[in-house]
Amino acid sequence: MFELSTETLWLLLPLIPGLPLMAAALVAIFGHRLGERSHLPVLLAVAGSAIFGFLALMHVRGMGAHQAPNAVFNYANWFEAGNLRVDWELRLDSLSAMMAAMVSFISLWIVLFSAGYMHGDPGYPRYFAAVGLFVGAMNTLVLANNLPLLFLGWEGVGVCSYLLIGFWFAKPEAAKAARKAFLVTRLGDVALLAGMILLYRAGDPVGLSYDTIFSHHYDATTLYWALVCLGIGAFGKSAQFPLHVWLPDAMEGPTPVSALIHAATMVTAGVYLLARMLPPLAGHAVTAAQLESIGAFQDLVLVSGGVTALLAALIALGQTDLKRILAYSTLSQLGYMFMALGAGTTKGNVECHSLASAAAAAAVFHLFTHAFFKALLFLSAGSVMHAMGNVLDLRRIGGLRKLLPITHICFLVGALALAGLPPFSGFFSKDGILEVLEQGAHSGGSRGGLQHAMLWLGLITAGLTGLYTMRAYLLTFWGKERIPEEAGHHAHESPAVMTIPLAVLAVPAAFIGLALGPTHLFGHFIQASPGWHAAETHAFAWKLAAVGLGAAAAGIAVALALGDRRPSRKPNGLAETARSGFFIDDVYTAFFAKPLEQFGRLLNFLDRELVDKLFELFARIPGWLGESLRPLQNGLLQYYALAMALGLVVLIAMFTLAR
Amino acid sequence: MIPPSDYPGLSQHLLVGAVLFCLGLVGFLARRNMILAFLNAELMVQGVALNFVAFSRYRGNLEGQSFVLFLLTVAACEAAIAMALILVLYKNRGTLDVSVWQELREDSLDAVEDTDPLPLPAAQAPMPPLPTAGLGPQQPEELSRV
Amino acid sequence: MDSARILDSCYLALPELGMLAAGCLFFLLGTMIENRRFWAVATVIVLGLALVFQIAEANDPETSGNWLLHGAATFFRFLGPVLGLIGTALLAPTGSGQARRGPEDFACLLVACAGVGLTGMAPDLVVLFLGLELVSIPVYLLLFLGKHDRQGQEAAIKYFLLSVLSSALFLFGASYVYGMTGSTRLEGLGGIHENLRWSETAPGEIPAARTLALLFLLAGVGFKITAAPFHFYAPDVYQGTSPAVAGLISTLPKAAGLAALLRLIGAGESALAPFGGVEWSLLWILAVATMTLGNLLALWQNNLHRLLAYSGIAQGGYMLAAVSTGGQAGIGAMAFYLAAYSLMTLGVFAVLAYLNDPDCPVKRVDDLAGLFRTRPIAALCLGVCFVGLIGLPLTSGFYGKLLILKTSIASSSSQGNSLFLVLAFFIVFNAAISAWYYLGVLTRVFLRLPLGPQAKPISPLPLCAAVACSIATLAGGIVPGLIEPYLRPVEKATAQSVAVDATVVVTANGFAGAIEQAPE
Repeated sequence: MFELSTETLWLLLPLIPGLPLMAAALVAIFGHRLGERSHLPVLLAVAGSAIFGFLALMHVRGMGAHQAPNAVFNYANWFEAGNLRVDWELRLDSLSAMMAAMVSFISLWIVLFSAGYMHGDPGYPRYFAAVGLFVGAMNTLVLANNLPLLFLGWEGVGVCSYLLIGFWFAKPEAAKAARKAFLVTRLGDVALLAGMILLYRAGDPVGLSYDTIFSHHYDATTLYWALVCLGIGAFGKSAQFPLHVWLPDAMEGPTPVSALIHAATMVTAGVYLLARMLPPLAGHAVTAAQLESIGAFQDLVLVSGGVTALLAALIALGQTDLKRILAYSTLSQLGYMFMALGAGTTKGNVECHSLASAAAAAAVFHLFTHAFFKALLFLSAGSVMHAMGNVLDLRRIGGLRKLLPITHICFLVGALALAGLPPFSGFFSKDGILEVLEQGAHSGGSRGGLQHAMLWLGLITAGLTGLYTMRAYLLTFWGKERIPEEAGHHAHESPAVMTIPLAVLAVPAAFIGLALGPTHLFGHFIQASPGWHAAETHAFAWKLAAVGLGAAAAGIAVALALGDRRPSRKPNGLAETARSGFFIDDVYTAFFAKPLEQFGRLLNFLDRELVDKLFELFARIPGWLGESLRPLQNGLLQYYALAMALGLVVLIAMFTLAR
Repeated sequence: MIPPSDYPGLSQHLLVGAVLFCLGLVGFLARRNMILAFLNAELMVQGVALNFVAFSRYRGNLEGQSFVLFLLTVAACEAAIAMALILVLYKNRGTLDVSVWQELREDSLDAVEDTDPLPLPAAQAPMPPLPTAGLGPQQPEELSRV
Repeated sequence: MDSARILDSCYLALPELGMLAAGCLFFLLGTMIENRRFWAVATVIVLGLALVFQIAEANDPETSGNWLLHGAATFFRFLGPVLGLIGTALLAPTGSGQARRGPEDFACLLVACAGVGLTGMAPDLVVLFLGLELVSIPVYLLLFLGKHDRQGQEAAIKYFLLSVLSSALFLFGASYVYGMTGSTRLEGLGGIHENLRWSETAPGEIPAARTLALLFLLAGVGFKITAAPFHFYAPDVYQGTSPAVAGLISTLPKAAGLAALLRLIGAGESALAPFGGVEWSLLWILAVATMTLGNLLALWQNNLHRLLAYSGIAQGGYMLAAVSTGGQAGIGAMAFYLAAYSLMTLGVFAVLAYLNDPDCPVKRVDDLAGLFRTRPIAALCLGVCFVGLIGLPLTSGFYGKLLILKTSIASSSSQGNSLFLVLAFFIVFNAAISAWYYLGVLTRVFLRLPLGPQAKPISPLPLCAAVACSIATLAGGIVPGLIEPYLRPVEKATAQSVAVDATVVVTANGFAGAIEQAPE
């Protein structure tokens, strides 16, 4: 069995986030000298992270079910405030090792792709510095062993997301999208912070390390509200209803960024957070009230996930931009993951723990496969964009399979995985989610009904997914060849630096589900994390899989039947509704943004005319005082001596005569 | 601790010490000649030395007197530096007046002008080489206010 | 007097005595070997050996004796050589002048570092005085050697004459302390009241002479700390000299002054015991006046050295504030802040020394415009150090200010004195004012375009020093937990009261004892 010594791990673990951060700093400082070589440090560093992440993964795998209950590496004290002590500490278990390895591996290929995609952009060094920073922050997030450190990574990826969405900041849409993404996720971040504060206040042996949180008995109300706060944080980051509006706009960033941040890694941070918290908490819940709290929270997650999944799938149907379709499909798939996280029961402690663990494992498995095939799809879309002169409107491109043969195959693999056809990876992970929902529905309790409804909703969504995915694929690659004029005359397949990452990512997108899913390798591995309920091997649920497959196949069939019928340009009520995302943005604008804007204007006026004037007055005083004191320093030595002597005399007078 | 001896002269000694100290301070503040300013500072130190010796006698131990030894050593050391420094400064400006050195000050302020400057010394012929024996040439006395 | 004890005592102060001896040797041999690099390496070796000795002997309970060897003393004995090492890197690049070839400035540096250590460990007023002079006298020479133009000479004479005046004030206070206690031992300060016969005061009343003596002593020490109203020389002197020397003047004398202050007020004994109830209010007033005056005057500065001088004055005010809170926690906070301040300020001056090119001098704040584009590393170092001086999080400056605020708020509640809350308010208010001018520099460094031709650095050594200072600044802010344990002994300074030995060597007492015993 493969095993690393503790010392090796101690050294190796901080390098996983550390290397990309160092590379980012290097590129940020020397970017203007490195120029078009700026990708090299980041590429090497991320490759190092990937290798170390893989070593750590193999180590944890070697430990098998005998994982140390707290494989925690404490490096130094970060800060102490009152009786709160927060350390720089990293955690190595199945979940964190899997996430770190996956994030670094996918990042590696995306960085390589970017080297080709971003070629010639004036912001080349800035781009790679931000990507390096992102990988470092994301790895910090997943390896952290306490909530404040996770929060550091959480904010770090948020900042990188902001920087990269607004990468072409001269474009007003990009700047606006970046701001929107930042503000909406900020809303979630505040909730996350509130959740941390709740946990801190309720915790007795004070600490925000996972182990202290998991081992503490919170009272049911605190537990519920803390979970809701953490959940809202997760909704914001993972773009779940009602905080989903930022993700489609985030597509203004460079396409590799969409692949990395807004499909494969950052948006899954919310799923990771809940998967990190829920199973151990469920395992530790003893009283019925605590079980109820967790159940009530899971219902919230379930509904939010279900609504997002269905809504996003419907909206995707109405989109005409390939990248936006993919963005909505990401939303929909994230909704699936949240639905899985919501599966559970309140019937008994053991059942609750067991089902919550299985559900979280299913969610994480879908996260894992989704990362590969969605990154693949986005990169393929990037490749199409590269060839088509940045046009992705399905009404203007088509029939590209001859022109872009490698991209075509890779996109097809990704699309089939997304649609959920066996033997591609998406089929197995989606099936896993339906399975836990069914288990939840059957295990009865008060929550069975809702889960049953969600199971049906998941099946419908599966059909819709098949439909829009296949449709996007067919319209892009089949039918009459259409090439927009922006592409010029030399529309051609992308260079090797871009096609190699596609090919590499296509392999796991195709087969990793088959390799890890039905064999229960993944489930057993993840559920060996300390605090989780060990997985029980059970037979593959053929019936449910068949129904799911049927739904997907039906969707695909409809898409095939529709063939090359392009969306019309004429406005059409239903399609328009879907295209605009069910006017949710408009509702937000009308009910929140506009009134707030007016209020802001009022405040701005008051601030400028009243408060500012007042403060300017105050601010002038030091300057004025400073100016009036300057003659003291007139450069005459004897004057200085006199001032010293007089100062001493004044002090003597104060302290001897005054008493 | 050795009990204080009966030493009636203490007050007088302290008084003289304090007077020396104050005279030195006033001189330091008033004399613009750099050498004299420094000597005035030395005068202050001598006042302190007197204090130490008087207290030493009063207390009946020698700690104060040993302090004076160190004090004199340091004063001698400073005097050496003072002479070297003042010589260089004199060579640069041709005067010992400390108030000409006011180039370093807040840049918004004008230089403080001497409203009643001393008459410039008459231009001197370069000093003739000294004869092998005998007196040097007669030098005009340096003018100074205060 | 047995010679074994003399040797023992010498051994305990070996690093300082070694540095002094090395300094003397440098002065003597400087005429023979003109290779500057050789002397720089020699300085580093001497300072390194001193540090190694300190580390080997630190916290050894056996090594008490005539020297104060605990807590605060250990801190200052470490601080001296560390600052010296950085200072060596600043001084090392050869300038244009002839005198820059010899080892005189390294010798001065060694002597000044020894002075800081000796002041920190002084058991006696004589050693305290000598320690302070051992810092002052090399500084005169450094100022004189640093820059051979009119400005340099003006700076030298101003510092020299005012420093002589301040030591006269200090000595006057010292003479009265001796008179009142009958001893020059610093532990004896606590016994003023009992031994006071010649002054007719009612029991419990603080005699005026004691206050007088204290004020004179503080005037002397305050000059070194650049406390208002004894700060006047600082801007002029910094402006007139080279960045390397300015960096040393802004740190070594300040460290020595604070060390002396700690020794005088009893190095952290609770509630400033030796002088009764006067000191905290005195220090309070000095602290508030110093920090406010420094920051207000810094607001309008264009000259970088003047700006840093005023910033140094203001920062000295924060340290005085920490001391004025009285308790041991205040001393610890002061020590942390002193170390943080010294490294940040030396970092800034190191960058200025790095950019010090006679052809295009960096004098005004505007000369730094666009530094980030031309010299990113230097600009980042400058950024880190200035951010630390502002006191923003993730730097040691932030943590130091936090400690000071914490102690002042804690002592306001423990002593029931709301004036300490006012003090905390003043600190916050001053930090806000100071951010303005510090950020003004940073704006030019990072957001403006270069104005003219850029300086060509002579040597990368000062930049290395700047990088080291920035890393230390960040480390002190990110993981203050690493450094804090080393400050604990500072806080415990006087819990272990120093054994008083009748025979004192090297110090005045020793001589006195020798004279006393000789006739028999």
